[in-house]
Amino acid sequence: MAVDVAAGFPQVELQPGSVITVTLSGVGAQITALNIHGYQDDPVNATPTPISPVSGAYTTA
Amino acid sequence: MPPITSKVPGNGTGTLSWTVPGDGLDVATVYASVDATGAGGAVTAELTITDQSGVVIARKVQGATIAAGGTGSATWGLRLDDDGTGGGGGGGITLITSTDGSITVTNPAGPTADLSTNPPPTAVEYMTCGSGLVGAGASAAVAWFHSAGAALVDYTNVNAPEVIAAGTYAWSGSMTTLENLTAGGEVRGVLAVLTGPTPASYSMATGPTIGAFAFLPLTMTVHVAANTTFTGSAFNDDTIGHFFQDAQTFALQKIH
Repeated sequence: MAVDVAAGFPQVELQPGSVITVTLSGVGAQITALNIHGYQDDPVNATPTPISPVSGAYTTA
Repeated sequence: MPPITSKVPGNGTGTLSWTVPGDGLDVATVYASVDATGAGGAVTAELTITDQSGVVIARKVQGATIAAGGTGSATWGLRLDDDGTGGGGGGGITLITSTDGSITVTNPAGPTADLSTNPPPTAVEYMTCGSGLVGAGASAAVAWFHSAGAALVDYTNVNAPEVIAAGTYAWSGSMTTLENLTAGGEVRGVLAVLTGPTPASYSMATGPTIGAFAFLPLTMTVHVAANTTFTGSAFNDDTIGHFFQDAQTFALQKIH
């Protein structure tokens, strides 16, 4: 029978290069897979890139 | 943007790591699939986080284990309660105070007992019974009072107090007279259980019949139902009145 255990994830801000490591106690056990789920920054809310100014004058019809 | 999941395959060991990529990731959950079929004991999973410079900034150990010989998983999630902490439930016992001795829990999943109505064996209450003069050819019921120890008795009716909880109890104590008996005189002390489904039981001591103080040892062992009444009485068949005095420590012990 499979046993599933759970705990809270620390509320920390991870920058690129941060490392998440899972370690099992004891001898003989192994981690068969590690899945990390999350969200990347939303471009809609990202800092906008300035638009280059347009030279010249607008004309009307 | 939709959430993404990074997957790290196992490497045949008990340690796996993942590095936050250059475009970053706000981690919500970490899931580790665990194979403990070859483990020598219960397996505990631990999460460690280091920042981009390699400094450990967090460590979180699972509160529950995966048994050796089995499989399972360990999950860490934002806003996820730890196993065994009760979550948002009613919580557990935070304090037990015992006035009768130690408490040992050998099987937390076993039967429970309300100690307020089921005192443990060996609980002892010390009591005194009132002194008084009993006239010639008369008798009197004594009054009982708590002295020390456990609270096994309800003294609302001091002349007929009640043993609160069912069980087997032993009474032991004595009564004495402070005057010599006259020739042919006799005094008695009686301890009796008079109510409840248990047949009445008592022990009685008869004093010397002439020229001495009377020492009346009173003992009784009987199984009683809850709220069983017991009494103590002094009988005087002498031709003079006698002053009866209780012992300093009359004990009632729950023995089963």
